[in-house]
Amino acid sequence: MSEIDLLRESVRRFAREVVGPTREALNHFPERPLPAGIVSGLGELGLFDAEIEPGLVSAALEELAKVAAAPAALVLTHAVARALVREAGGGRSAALGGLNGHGIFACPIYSELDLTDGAPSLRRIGAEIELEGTAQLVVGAPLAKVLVLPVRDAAGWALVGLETSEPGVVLGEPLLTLGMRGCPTADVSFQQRRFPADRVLATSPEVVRRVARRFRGAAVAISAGILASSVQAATEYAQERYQGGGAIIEHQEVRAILGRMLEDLAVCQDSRELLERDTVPEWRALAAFLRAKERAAHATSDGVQLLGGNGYMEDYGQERAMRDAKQAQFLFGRTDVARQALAGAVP
Amino acid sequence: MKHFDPEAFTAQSEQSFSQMYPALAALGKHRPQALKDYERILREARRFRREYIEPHALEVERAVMRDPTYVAEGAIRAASEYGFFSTMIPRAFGGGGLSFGAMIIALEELGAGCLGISNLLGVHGLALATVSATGDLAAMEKVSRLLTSGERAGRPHLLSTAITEPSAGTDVEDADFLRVARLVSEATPVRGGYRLNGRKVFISNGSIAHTHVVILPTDKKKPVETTFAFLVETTTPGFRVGRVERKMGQKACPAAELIFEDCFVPESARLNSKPLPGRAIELVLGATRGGVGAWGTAAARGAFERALVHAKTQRLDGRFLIDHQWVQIKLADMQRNVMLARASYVDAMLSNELFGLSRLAARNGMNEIQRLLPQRVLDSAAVKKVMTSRRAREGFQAAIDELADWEVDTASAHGSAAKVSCTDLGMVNCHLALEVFGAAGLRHDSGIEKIYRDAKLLQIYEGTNQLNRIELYKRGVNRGATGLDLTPRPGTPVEHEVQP
Repeated sequence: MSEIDLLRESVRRFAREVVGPTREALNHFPERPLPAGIVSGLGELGLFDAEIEPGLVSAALEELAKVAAAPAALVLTHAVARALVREAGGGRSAALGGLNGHGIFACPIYSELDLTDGAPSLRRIGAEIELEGTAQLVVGAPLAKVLVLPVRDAAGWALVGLETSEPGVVLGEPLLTLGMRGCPTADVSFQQRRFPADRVLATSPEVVRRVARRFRGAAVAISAGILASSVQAATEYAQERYQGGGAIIEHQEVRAILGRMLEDLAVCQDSRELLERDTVPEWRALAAFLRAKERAAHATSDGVQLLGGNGYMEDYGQERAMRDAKQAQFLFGRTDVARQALAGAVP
Repeated sequence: MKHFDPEAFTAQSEQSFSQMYPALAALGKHRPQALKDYERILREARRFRREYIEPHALEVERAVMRDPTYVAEGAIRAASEYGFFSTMIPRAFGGGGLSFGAMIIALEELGAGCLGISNLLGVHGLALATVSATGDLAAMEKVSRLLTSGERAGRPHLLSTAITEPSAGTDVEDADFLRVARLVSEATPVRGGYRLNGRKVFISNGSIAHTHVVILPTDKKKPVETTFAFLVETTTPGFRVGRVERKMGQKACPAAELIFEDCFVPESARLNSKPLPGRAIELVLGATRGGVGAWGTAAARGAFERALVHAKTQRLDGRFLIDHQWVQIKLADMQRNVMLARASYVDAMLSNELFGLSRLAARNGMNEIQRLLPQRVLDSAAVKKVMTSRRAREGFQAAIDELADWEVDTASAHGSAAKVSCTDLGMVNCHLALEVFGAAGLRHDSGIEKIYRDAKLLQIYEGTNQLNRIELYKRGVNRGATGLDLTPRPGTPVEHEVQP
């Protein structure tokens, strides 16, 4: 068994035995507490390790997302934030020794990380920096040891890394979001607090573009995992649900909807596989990334539709899939903004 | 940063009636009273939206997330002050006397603020339409009086309509499907009345309503021939509310299971003399599906208005979003979708007035008579006697029977077309709006992700959009065809009726 298959199998078992029974509680976070054992279990699987490769992350996330996408979003965010620190060379800083240690890393992964709109502002004062403002929707922040945040520099863009325990880092209440509800997310505020200047990890957004390119496959794996479970639930329901004188799968329109969902699942899985290759031209990789996330978001809405009223209720899991897939579409930012970059990547 | 600013938001929703409804405004030159009614209800709905719905919609939703049995009593009380629960009850029965059309204009305005609260109000429309379509004016009068007297005290007598069963959703929305449905519920005729047994599910307002309009067959093996509407009070022995569902959205309007266990109701609880499937139910759905179209438009509009405010106040890549061409195009598409959706449901509304249930309510100059007579006269015993007489009931039934098939089908086809078009456009606008928002739209306090969740239900209830396409095919495309097998069989030509 290859390393990737071993990990898949371990994650599949963990998802089934540990995550599955807690799905309802995960779905009601932050109204209910986060179920115990999820975060520690993910750690025991090595999913928060420093050196985990994007390919392994991708395999793990697809299996996790088939059961619950929220823990998958937490793992992806951590992997991306950690990779940003490594890529920016932040771990070399003595003051940032903590950034190489254990603990969860957080970042605003649903935003365009290479832009700074709405981000805190940074002012350089001698050997220090001053941060002011609020970083919004920082994924993983309530659990994190390290925050990796784009900020507005006088010169434009900068990336900072901070420990959540540092004075001046104010963590907001966990936010209620459209999907991925068991993945704790919060705003992080700064009120003109000063930090050592070596908290600045990078000043060129190219670093986040490089990292985002490496983790596109992992992001699509989440969409693929969500959609796979939605297709499976919809198919089982269509075979069992009696309406119009027979199982609804006998209705041509139902078959057409299921067929479209499978087409979209194939797009997601093909895209994930394509994105795991090293030699794919940028325009094809970006196109596959955008297409897969968008198709999964629409297909999971069809998954709800296929179950009718039952699909709209929490019991069948389809509504969660629809919300999670829509939120997953925003991993690394808006589709339409990225699509414009695609136009510039013509071969 | 404020993620949703009601004041900035209000400034975006200041279109006048004639800007929103140019066709109705033009028509109003010939129907000045109807135009006045439309304009008045729009003003009132807008005021209620600003004063209550916008400030409270998100907190109501979070309360229901914590406890699905939470009742939005504040919304019910506030809506009562406006008389929204009785707007379309005839003045002779103590209501506002406005048309169904006027009510759905209100539903769009309220729904653009919160689809859940608008639905809480609107399901009364379905219940009242169902009662009125039975022609049982005595029952209508009784329900209406209870409702309006409670409403004046801030505690309206709420209604629900119970149709869906655990194993029959689509099957109970169409006569062809009903014929082969696997029903679990039945009203067995017994001495002096009926004994009700079974379960109804996903009943909007089911857990908070005081009276339920329950659709049941007296012989579940012959549902098409034996289905009637029964009025069941919450206090009736043998009736109880089961689980309250945890829904994805529209949380202000609870959906509940209703359980009937040897629940006896007297003969008088059965409203209609003729079975409901066929004309009566077609007339009800032709009207109410237009109402769902108004909610689809509301979803499209709520998403658009929030995206517009966000685009004007937030930046991307250093510039305000609204200064980006791609955002401008998206906003234009959203506005266009609102216009298209509104035109579709207004067509359904007018079709309903020309050919459907609203025409029956307005027959013999009833609306004009009620408008002209003083309320004390309308409340008198003499008027009550006339309105609830057997003759009036038979007259209403005769009016239903006199409608031509093509008229009922036309109203029904427009209702289904509006329902599908508007609710699909509502979802389209939610996707577009979320793109404009970006990550900010994923947070609950933005208000936009709520519309995305709320809007999805519109594609499902009042018949899924798939069923409504079949209805449109049967009522508009190929009249008389059945919807169970859409593949034409060779050698079985369908007869086409020539429409005037």
